[in-house]
Amino acid sequence: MKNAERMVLLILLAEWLVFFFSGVTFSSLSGNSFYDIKADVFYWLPFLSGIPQIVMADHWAGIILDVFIFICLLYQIRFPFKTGAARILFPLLFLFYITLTAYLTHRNYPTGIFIVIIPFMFAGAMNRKMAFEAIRYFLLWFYFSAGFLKISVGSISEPGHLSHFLTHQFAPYYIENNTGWRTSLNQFLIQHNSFAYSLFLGSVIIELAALVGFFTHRFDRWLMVLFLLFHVCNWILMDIAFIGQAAFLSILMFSYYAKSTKTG
Amino acid sequence: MNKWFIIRLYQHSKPAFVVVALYILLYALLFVKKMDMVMFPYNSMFSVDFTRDYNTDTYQLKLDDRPVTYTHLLWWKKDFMETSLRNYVLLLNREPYIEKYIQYAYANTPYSKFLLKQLKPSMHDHSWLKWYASFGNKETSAYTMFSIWKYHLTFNGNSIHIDSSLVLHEKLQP
Repeated sequence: MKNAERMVLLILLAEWLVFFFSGVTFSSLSGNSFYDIKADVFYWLPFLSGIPQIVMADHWAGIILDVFIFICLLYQIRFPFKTGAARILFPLLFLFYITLTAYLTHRNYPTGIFIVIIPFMFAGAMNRKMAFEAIRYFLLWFYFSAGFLKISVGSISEPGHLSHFLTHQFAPYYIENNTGWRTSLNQFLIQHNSFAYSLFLGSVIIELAALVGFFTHRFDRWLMVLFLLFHVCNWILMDIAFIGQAAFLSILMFSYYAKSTKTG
Repeated sequence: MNKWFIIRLYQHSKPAFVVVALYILLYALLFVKKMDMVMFPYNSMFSVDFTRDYNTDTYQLKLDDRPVTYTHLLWWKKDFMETSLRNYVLLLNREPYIEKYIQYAYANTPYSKFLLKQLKPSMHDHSWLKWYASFGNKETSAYTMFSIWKYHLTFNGNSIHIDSSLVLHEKLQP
């Protein structure tokens, strides 16, 4: 149980380091004055408080927050059953998510970066186990609803659906002449929309497979593998990485472990 | 162990059950209303095809004709540079969504001014472009000419046709 919790946290730490070395954490974003937020109270509250603006205006505030998050993650890994560091990490990672995505159009899918911390905020084995299970259902719904919406809005009946999307995904690569096997594959799938459509159907089936998890824990590991496959394909075909979601997905491995050992 | 989670949660902690039940109800309401919020994601990723064709636009900042490139960067930074410039260009020619929303939803309220001040992005000058260039590891000087180019890509059979047009051409004040 302890090692499983550490594994989730280690993946989260690795993700945080990728964010850091990518150059998009607080310290790298300082000086940025432009953001574009939507009608979402979870964005409004931090921006109304002025905290993201203050952090962006002060380079040292960004450095301190980056280092602080790193230290808290290390502490939580060392003492996974303690809650203090997790209760600090949650608002900090939430603030990081809000700050980063206030500048992006890609919102809502890397929410796992802060949601995965929620169970670690609960003391007591049973409380924590319940929290993990609640988060697991949230994860399952997150993926299942994506597949469900593709059916309900009718995109499943559009043979050119994925090909149309693929025209947008690698446009900057063509402008910069940074082409390679992924842009070749991109062109192939735009030209062969039937093949692209079959991949789209495959992705919908993977998303819908999350429904199984609502009835049994038995296939959690397989669901995790399927979702990882989905994200790897997303990166290859759509140029959307899954850093920020990997630790969140790993709780499926954790849930299987917790179930089989009957601890907590 | 075979009981539903929600029943086990009720047996374990009634306050936690109330919180989770309220969350599910609120989520269901927002989902029906098609509202997307951080804690209640409406994950419609790639569900709706807005263009239904094989054309697309992308943008690039140039400093004295030197492009600020980003596709070689690690993904999050690449995505940041791509989407933030796109957002910036879109807002050059229209008022931000948040401004329209606040003016509609909070019209004639005493705090609409405060909401706009805190939530509306600043588009008064183009100094953000200087930050963007430095974020993309490009140096600028007082004499640098900034230009944003829009590229229109059309995928025709085996080839890609690219047209370009100038969106903004400006020398920023030092």
